[in-house]
Amino acid sequence: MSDTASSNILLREFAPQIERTGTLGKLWITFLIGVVLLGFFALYWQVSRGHIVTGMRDNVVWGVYIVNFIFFMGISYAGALISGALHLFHAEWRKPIIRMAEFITIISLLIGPGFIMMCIGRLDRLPNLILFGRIQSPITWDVIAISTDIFGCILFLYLALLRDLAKLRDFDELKVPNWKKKMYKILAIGYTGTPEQQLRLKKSTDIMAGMVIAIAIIVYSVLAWIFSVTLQPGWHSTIFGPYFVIAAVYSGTGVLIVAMYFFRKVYHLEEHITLKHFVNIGVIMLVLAAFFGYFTFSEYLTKWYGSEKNDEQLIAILFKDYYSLFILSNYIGVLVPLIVVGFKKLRTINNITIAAFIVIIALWLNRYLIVVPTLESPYLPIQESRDAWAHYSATWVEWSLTAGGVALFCLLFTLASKMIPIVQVSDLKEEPKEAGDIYLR
Amino acid sequence: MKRIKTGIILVILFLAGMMQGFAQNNADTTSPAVTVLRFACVSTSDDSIQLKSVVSVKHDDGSTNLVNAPVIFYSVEKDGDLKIGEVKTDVHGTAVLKIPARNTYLRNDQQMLSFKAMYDGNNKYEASEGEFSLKPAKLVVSFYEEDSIRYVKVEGTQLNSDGTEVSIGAVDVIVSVPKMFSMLKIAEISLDSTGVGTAEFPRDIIGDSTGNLTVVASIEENDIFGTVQGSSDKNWGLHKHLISPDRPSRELWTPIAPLWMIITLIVMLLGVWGHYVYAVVQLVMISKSSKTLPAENSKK
Repeated sequence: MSDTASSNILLREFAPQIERTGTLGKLWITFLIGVVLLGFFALYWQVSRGHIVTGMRDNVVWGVYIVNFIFFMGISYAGALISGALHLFHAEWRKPIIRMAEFITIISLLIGPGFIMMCIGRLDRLPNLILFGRIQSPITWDVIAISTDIFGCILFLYLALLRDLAKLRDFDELKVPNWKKKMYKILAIGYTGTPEQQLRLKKSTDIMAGMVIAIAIIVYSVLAWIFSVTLQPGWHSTIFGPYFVIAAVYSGTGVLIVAMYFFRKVYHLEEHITLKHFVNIGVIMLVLAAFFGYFTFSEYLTKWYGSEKNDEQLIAILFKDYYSLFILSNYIGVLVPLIVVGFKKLRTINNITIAAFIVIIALWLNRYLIVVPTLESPYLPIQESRDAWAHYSATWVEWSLTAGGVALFCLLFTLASKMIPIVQVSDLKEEPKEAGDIYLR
Repeated sequence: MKRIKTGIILVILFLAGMMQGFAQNNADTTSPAVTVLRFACVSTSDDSIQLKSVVSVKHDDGSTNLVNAPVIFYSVEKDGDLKIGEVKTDVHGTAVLKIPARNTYLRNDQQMLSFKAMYDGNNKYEASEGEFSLKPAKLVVSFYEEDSIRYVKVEGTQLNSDGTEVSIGAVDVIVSVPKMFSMLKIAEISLDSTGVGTAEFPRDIIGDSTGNLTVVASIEENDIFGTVQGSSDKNWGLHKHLISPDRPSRELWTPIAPLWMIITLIVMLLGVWGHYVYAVVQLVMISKSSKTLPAENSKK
């Protein structure tokens, strides 16, 4: 079967995703828009009344916003690492899921930095960061790194999309509005798949796959250094760079598995995304769980054994005030994926998805436990401060904006899947199916 | 059915009326908040007395400072209170009025000046007041060096109503240096019968970039003199180097980043953006090559 014929069969299969949205889909989008609007209302509330409406005060100056920022940036790097690594290693099984990893990268990269803006009290001074930026400041490193990463990831995604865009442009049976057809035509930049074009595209995609991996590691390390260059108990650590990178890929793997589960159900991709894909990504998650557990243990063991006064105070807070969250984040969040993927009998799609969901929650909590308890136990004694100022508790404004961010992520993901097939059509080949072997590729 | 409807409406109206009445009762019974006025006087080395009052409102969680509240200061005299002035409290709830130490306000039998601060209150906040008596005094801080040892010297005097100054003895004085969050105590001196006390000055206090220090001597909440403060500047501190010439600096306020950082950043950025440019160029070439294809293909 020729490539074009094979692609046309696949496009016919995926066309309904792009052509129409069912009632349930419309309800889902309406719900997400509603939550996003709630987030915007909370943002208006915060901007008009100031940061007093949040739980952040003089002592605990960072809260769930920075946690969300780290979390979204983390899953974006994970998407970049997974898609880049699988591309470079030519892992054949990657093809049905790589588009999702790329979407996760771009969408979370667009949402994450928004949360850091919400931490800033005087947004009007934001241009000063560019106008008077000093490269010896970790914040400047972060701005440079994130903007470089956004550009690189968008470029990588575009390169990965190019062949599908060309196929969508050339697929006459596609019943979509004219503006969508025009969009495909413009974005396809005349790609027809000549040998020269293929060669150029392959070269640039290979280079960008390597670059996004390198940048993802650098950017997330820079984010970790914002904490570790600070003389704060629990933050001033030499392993924070690799620890953050591992945690990021770990949480991103969880998000990818959950996304695979939902898109498989909603778009009926059972034929393309099989147990094999869940197990393969699950094994990556298992390895990352082991690394994450090792780093976490190493981090807290050295602090506990060192018995430095403020570190002891921090560990006491973690095991007293945040006991249940600490156990959920650092024990359950590590052990569940290890057990579920480690034992062959437990490796079902549902089990792996539940484990991935637990990983997402655990890793969000992990970032919360890195940020908040440290700020509640600073080196300098908190003087003449009210108890409510020394301890942090997020308000409805912060929770609404968090929900708004998550809803925006889901909304953009849904809308993206309405523009371009969620599975990379150009890489998949429709093979003649044999009885009894229809799900094997 | 009609009766039931009428009954329900009447019950709702009755309950609404009850609630309204209850709300009004609540409003009527709201009493003004209790205020607390803390009043103290501080004699300073520039021959003046600071009358300082802090007005706050008490509530269950503690207290909150009352801002913009007018505080009237009086001299309490035999013939009645004499108004000195009125000051509104600032954002910290503090109202300060400075008067000369050599003044004409009448003293009591113990030769002490008595002052009163009063907040009159309004329908929201209760009135409150405080009183303070003191003998005006002065502390003079000076420095000398003997056998390569540095000393700080404090002389204390009280001001009589006739304008004369008399030494004050047997009083404890704390010598300290203001730091970022609090006063750093460097010595505690007991003034002798001539009103003079000395203490060795430490050599390891960090000053500003040229070593300047402000040294403050104070008598804290004395029964006779109240709080008395005197201060003087001296360049006996260690120089605080913002930019050390003999080591690379990493502080954010240094004018330029270390060379290794600049080189690393430039190399990394050039490396990354160079690859981006390469990828973009390839895309441009793909686009261009489509225009040179035969018409059948290029229609796409």
